[in-house]
Amino acid sequence: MPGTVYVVTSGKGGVGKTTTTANLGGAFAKLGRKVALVDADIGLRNLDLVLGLEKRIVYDLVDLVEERCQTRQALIRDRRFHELYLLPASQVKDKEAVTEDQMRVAMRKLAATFDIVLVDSPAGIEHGFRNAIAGADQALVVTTPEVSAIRDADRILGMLGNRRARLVVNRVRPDMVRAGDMLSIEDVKEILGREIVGIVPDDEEIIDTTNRGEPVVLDGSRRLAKIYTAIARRLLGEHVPFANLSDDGLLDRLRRLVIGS
Amino acid sequence: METHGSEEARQPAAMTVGDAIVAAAAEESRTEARVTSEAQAKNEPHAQSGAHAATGANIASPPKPVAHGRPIVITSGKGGVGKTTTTANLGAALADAGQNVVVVDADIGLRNLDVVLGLENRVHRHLLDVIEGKSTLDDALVRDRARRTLNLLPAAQNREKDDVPTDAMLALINDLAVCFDYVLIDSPAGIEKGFRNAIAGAKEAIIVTTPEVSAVRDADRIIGLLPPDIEAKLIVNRVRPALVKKGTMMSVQDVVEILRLELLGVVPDEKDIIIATNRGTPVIDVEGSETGAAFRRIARRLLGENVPIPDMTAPEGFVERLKTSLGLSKSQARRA
Amino acid sequence: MQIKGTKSGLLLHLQERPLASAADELRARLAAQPAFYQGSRAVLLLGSQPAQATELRAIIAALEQYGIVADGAVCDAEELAALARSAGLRLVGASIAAAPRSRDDRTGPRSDAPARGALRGTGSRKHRNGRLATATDETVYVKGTVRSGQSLTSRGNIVVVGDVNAGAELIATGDILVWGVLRGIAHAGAEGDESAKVFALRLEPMQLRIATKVAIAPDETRRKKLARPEVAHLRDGSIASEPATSA
Repeated sequence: MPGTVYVVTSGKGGVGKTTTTANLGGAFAKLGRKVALVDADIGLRNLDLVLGLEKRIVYDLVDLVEERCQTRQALIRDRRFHELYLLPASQVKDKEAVTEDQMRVAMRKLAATFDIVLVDSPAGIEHGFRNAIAGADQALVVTTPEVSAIRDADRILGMLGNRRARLVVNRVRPDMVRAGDMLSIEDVKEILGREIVGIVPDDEEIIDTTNRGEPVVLDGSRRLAKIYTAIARRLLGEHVPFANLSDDGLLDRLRRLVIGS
Repeated sequence: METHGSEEARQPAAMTVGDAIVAAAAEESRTEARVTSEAQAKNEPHAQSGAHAATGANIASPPKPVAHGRPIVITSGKGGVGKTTTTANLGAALADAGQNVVVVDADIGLRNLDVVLGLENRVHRHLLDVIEGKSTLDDALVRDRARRTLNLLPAAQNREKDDVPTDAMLALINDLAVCFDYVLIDSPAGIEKGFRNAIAGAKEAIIVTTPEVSAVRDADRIIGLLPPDIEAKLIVNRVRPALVKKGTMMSVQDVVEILRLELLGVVPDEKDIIIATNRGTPVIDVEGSETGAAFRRIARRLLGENVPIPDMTAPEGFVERLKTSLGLSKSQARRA
Repeated sequence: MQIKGTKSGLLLHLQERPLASAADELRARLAAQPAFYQGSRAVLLLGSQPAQATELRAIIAALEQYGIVADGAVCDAEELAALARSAGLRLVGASIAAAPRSRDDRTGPRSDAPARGALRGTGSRKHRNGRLATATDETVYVKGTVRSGQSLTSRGNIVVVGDVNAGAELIATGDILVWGVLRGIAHAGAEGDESAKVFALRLEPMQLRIATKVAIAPDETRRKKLARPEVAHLRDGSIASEPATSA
């Protein structure tokens, strides 16, 4: 049974694709799956930075598709997890260095030996994005509850063909939702019309862990780690109820009752 | 469709894309370096833009107009660092200072500049329509109601960046620089065709970054891809002085040390930004916003004024004011 | 079998295939256009497959027949490396194979110009390993910051007066000198010269490579290093660095 290849994409940049890829990958690995993370952002690679593996890169995705190296040479093992590997992008090339066909072949090969493959897509809808989705079976569309991001996510959803697409709503701020300054989860679901598989709150901690190359899932006790684990479990087919994000859950439920949204 | 009242700097009605191409051809040698071989391969014959091109080629051209405007591209590499917000707010601030401004959304297929300015309901024609000769520039430009000298040239939403030949973009920007004092081009994220088109015609670049490793790395890449004749300056956005003090965020100095660009401005992070964006209000219009104040200072610097950049990490008073404007009390700041 | 052209010569992709038939395949391939590669140098990309010395020699001979000089090999296994050496091939670092092509891999309009104000000079290399400087040796001299994603390759030395940022790479067959902060990747002695060195005013590289050895900088916390010129070189088979107080 080949593994599943997910593309993690968004349209809008900066909503948290790379952070999601890294942490979700870590969560899958902690659940005992064999995971490969692929950075498809050739020329603007960041997944290696977020994982703290940038210094260990010798071969990359472009070397692999041009057959300058073998798969095992390009994959970097993240020893902090049980079975988590990174296939980094090249920094000195650009996205035209790889074709969609080459990506399909490469992702097929990875799916043959891994349970889960997560492909970190670049921002936008150009060649790099098309490469990223080329080898993917399913899509995870990351968005934030902001008008611009939702709009771009909507455009992206229309470009994913027949692939199953589910949403991860990132950087949610319950206080702002309450005050009416930010779209609610219900709003997002209604506009985009897809299953939501993760709701991740805005958390200052992420910035620090990203800068230090230590994915937050490393510490299982952290709130964010539990949330990413929940996402992984939902993707694996489990039914996991969503955690209550607001400080005052009662107020939220009352509000919904009263406003009926 | 709006009626335009008596206006000074409106474009002469005869100016079409075809005319602009005639003017641009003379500049070809200077700008040749910017056109990649890919763009040349995809260069569509301008005859395709229909009647306009024919007119442009056959009539005796008016004396070649001098492009006095400043075409500036706002770019970053990394997405989500604030390019569009910067373009919108600088455009608005410059308009407030009496300048004739056009902001150009070069993010074809993923347009957002219209939303940030609250103009999305008034978009009829767009950049691609103008380039393909389906619309005049006049018809495509959306003028801001509150600021009469601020205009938006929207991107197309249902097209792709490959649809725009770089030459045509170049001609369009040159055309705009004839009619406007400032042409601010909002670049898409990335380093692909969208980015290459956005820099076509620009003489200056504003690189926007946040004080984070990934953003700085991407900004560096972008700077390395700019042609040598584009003058580049830096804006560091989303600075959070408290985190810099704590040591968990890079300082502005750290960023400048790596990127080695002249610093145009530093913009602090605020909750107000999201609210303003969602409502389509430029943050410079938000009372008491430090973010808005920073953008106003940057606009003044662009106009040549010597405005010192405040050190955001120093005075206690400033940090306190920042906290208040963020609406953070201790209990809200710490999540359960 | 892939044959790729690069600025420094040909790359023959011979990994993951038995070498026994490679020589014949090569001959057939080259016979189609006998004069095309005349006068080129070639680097063999070998993997870690089992091989015989005779097979390797057959490949080299086949190349010679068509005027191609095989003078380097990239190997992933010790035995194969030893075989290559005894067949007269120099061991080449992975970077040289991965270095950008003369045209296609580059990004953007000015990627051919390393930075503003680049000069090319013909430097003569000191007597090293008995080799005198050849006319093709050069020192690439660059002023300004070398940015993330940019790559400089030199069949000689590289001198940068400025910083080399993370995400940038310098690949030289000779020495590398950075009169600034080296944060990117530097590969000196890329064609096997183990006496090559890397100098920097501040040595904070992502990775250092000398000849075929790779070193990763130790994980450092956010300490500010004193601006202290350092030099990195091979000592007892591994890369070491020390203050650069004298030549």
